[in-house]
Amino acid sequence: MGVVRMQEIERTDEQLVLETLDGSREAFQVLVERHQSRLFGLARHYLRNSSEVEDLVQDTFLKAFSRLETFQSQSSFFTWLYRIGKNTILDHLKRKGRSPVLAMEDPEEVSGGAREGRSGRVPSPDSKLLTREVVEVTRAVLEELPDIFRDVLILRELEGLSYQEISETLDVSIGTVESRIFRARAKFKEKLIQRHPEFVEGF
Amino acid sequence: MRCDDIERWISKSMDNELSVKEVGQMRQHLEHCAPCRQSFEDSRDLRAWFVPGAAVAVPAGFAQRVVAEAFAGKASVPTFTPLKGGGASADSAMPGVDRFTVRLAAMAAALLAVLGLALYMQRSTQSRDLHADRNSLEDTLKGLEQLNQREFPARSQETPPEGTQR
Repeated sequence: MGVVRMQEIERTDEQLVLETLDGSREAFQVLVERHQSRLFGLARHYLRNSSEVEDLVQDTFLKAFSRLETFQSQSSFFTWLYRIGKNTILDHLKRKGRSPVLAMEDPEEVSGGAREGRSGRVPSPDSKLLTREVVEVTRAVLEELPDIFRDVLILRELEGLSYQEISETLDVSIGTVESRIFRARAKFKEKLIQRHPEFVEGF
Repeated sequence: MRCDDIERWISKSMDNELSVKEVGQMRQHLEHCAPCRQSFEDSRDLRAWFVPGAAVAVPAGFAQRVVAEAFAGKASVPTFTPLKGGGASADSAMPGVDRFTVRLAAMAAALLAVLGLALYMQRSTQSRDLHADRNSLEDTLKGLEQLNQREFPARSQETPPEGTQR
């Protein structure tokens, strides 16, 4: 039993992918179990309905399974899976009527504006706020951001991905990731102040 | 350094994506630039709004359901393409032929070989049996002839050649 567990730990995602391609159900199940929790977490940042979350995470794994032969081992399986998950979720949101990303909101096409967030000081959340309330405020502000900003903030701040991983997940350069995160933070601050002026210091 | 550059570095420093040298340069700038210092503190405060929510509970049996669904739809079973640098086996390197087809052909060939061998062995056995029968018949006839000669030598000697006594 102990030996089996050791082998389980030693198997990389890439090995499990190969075994799945060889027809191993067990290998695919290990892959699903290894990544399901983080995918549920990712979907939960975008969706409120838990049955929607489950359906979309399942869709993500099934899409990944049917495209497994296209997985290139130069990027990690996890970021590849994340990309499928994020696109599945965004497609779903677009079908439900969420406005698509506007090109003019792309940070690469907008000059300046970095200082716009300096219109007021946003302190850290009041200690009187419950964690659940902070999560709700942040979530509501994120929902108002253009997709490109919301995505990088979710991946960086809530999922803890590195710039390299975000770059692989979003299929953009690291320079673009840096730029988007920087702009996204400024946008987040701006929206937070607009939505909750009571949080601005000295208000 | 310009303040705009430092602001980007501040963002990167929040994510531990600055090199040690860059951190040193940023610190130097912050020491004598009050607006950037303020920006640094704002960034730090802003991050406190990103609190990871409670871990989402994965429904019981989720992985099993996904695997069952994936393998039930045989049409979508992935075909094998060698991974880059993945050390693909030789049979998988055949372009345009998926692993399942190759295996099916190999199994069919093996089955045919086994059937052929079985057929050959069966025929060979029958042939040996026929030879055995023929040998047996010849032996029996010889044996009968020898027996005749042993048991009826007198008769064979008494019997005159046909037509000599008449």
